[in-house]
Amino acid sequence: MRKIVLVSALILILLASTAVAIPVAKAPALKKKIAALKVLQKLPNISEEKKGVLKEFSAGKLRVLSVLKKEELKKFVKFKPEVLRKFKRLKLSQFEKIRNIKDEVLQKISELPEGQIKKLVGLKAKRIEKIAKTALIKHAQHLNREKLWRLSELGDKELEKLKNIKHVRLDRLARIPRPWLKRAFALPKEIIQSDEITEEDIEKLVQIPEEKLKKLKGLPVAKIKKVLKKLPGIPPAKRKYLIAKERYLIAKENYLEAKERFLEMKEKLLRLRKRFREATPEDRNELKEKLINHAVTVLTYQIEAIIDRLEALKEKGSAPENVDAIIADLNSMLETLDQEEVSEAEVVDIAKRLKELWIEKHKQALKRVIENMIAKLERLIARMEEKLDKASELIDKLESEGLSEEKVAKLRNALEKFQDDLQWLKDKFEEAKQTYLRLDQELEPGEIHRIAVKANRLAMIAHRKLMRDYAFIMHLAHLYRALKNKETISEEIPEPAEVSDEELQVIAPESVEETETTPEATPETTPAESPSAEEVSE
Amino acid sequence: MNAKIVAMLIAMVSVIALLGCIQPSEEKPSKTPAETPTATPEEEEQLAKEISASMETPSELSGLEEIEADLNELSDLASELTETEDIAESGIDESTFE
Repeated sequence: MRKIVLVSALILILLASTAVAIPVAKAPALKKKIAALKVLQKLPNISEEKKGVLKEFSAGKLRVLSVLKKEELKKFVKFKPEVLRKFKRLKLSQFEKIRNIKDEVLQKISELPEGQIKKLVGLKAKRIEKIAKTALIKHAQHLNREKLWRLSELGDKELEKLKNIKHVRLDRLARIPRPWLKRAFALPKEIIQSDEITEEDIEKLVQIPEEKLKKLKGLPVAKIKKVLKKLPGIPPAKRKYLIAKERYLIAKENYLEAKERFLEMKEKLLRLRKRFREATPEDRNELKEKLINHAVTVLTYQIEAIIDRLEALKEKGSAPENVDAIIADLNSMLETLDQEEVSEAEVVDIAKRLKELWIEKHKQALKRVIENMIAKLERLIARMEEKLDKASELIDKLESEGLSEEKVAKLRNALEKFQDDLQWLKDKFEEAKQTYLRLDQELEPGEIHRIAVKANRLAMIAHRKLMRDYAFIMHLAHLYRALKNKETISEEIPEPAEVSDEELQVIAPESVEETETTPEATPETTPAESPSAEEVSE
Repeated sequence: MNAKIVAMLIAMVSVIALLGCIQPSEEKPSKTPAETPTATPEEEEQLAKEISASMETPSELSGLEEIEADLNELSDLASELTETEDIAESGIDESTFE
């Protein structure tokens, strides 16, 4: 008897708890169902199988689809069910990107396996387009994201050389960093496609001056290989730097794209809000739902932009503390926005949290960028000073190698100018460190931005001047080689970059919010005299 | 007279047509490796020496690659300083849905 009572009590407890649990779990599921129904209502004629696939999509993706116009939706749903299924596990922002991609491009991408689609949408939309429209699409499955990024830098003429190339060969060639890869693809097809010439050989080849390369290119591949063996290898530091720079560029490119989309969506949201405020009470309900859906898209792009910016800062060693934990946190926010239906209160809460987080982290990051900029400039000035001192010894050497007295005098004169100029920069930098570049105090976001404006100006001017110093040193190196190899070289000696004190002065705005002043972007200045300096700007 | 003019015209048209048929001479293709005379080991050695010499940097200027990299990084850092916090503000707050 006791046993019966006990079992009955247990069953009752179990039933009661299920009754409580069901409505809680049902609410988001129900909302998801409503979004799915809205999508399906617009597409009355699609097959049952496709309907089934669409119902498998996450709440976030259904939300994105539910606000599309019928025609837009048709374009997306025209794919076979197995293709549609490939899109369902994409991140919400990637899904948005896919949805915005040109029809013929999407058609080609859809033929790739799911994992490859995911990899490809990690690139900028324009690059995806280029890959889809060229021979690269055939190799996309065999290349990682970085390699695809590098290859998508090539022009149509260069990409023609990929015809009939083996996947393995292309995979190896795509290891070559971007600035060298472009030059590599200017080599004859026989060299590019020959298995005898390794990617290390090609890296050596692209360093060779054009007139010497012409001689080499005329030889049979086996002979080229023999000559290359005799040449010294490329310093690993150079390659390492170029690869690190590429990782930074990829992250920065993704950041700029996400930022653009975020600002665009934000504008649309503001317009929608205006419509919502002016709407009649009957229209308000429908518009409110649209408004929430749109706000979620804005937040998705905002999170994406913040993550990409943090990734770029990481590559430059300027990220705020605990950056990986911050990125993980942001990713879980993205997951929430994709998987669950969110209320308006939750949307507002996420927007607030994001604002607070980014104001603080941006401030920390900016501080680190300024600190790194100071350290970099200190190192550069010291190294350049040392090189200019050594340049004096080199001029002596040139004199002993037979350079005319007149030319030697000109070089010494130029060297003196460069040394004086570097001293000017050194003094200005010291002055800046004593005044506005002081970061040892608690700074408000506005203050740090004002310092950044000035630091940017100083870095730009320093860059311009140091590039001229570099060009002068390269000129000496060319002279040295020309004398030894009995070649001619331009008579023109580089001059220091002219910068006035006024140009260095930046009027700091009283309040950053009140002014339009933004820091100046660094132009990619390259001294024309120095071919090696070209790489500096890449 | 007319026949002469017609004949001349026909001749001119034919010349023009013939000229049109002639393909403009393409840039001389570079010799394929198979056609190139092979270099002797001494010539290879010489070429390798020439190439090395054309790339040689005097010892006084060693370490220029690091300066190159630092200059590039300074430029990247300067461009990072141009980033404002404009992605902090989404424009969404309590008033958005009122």
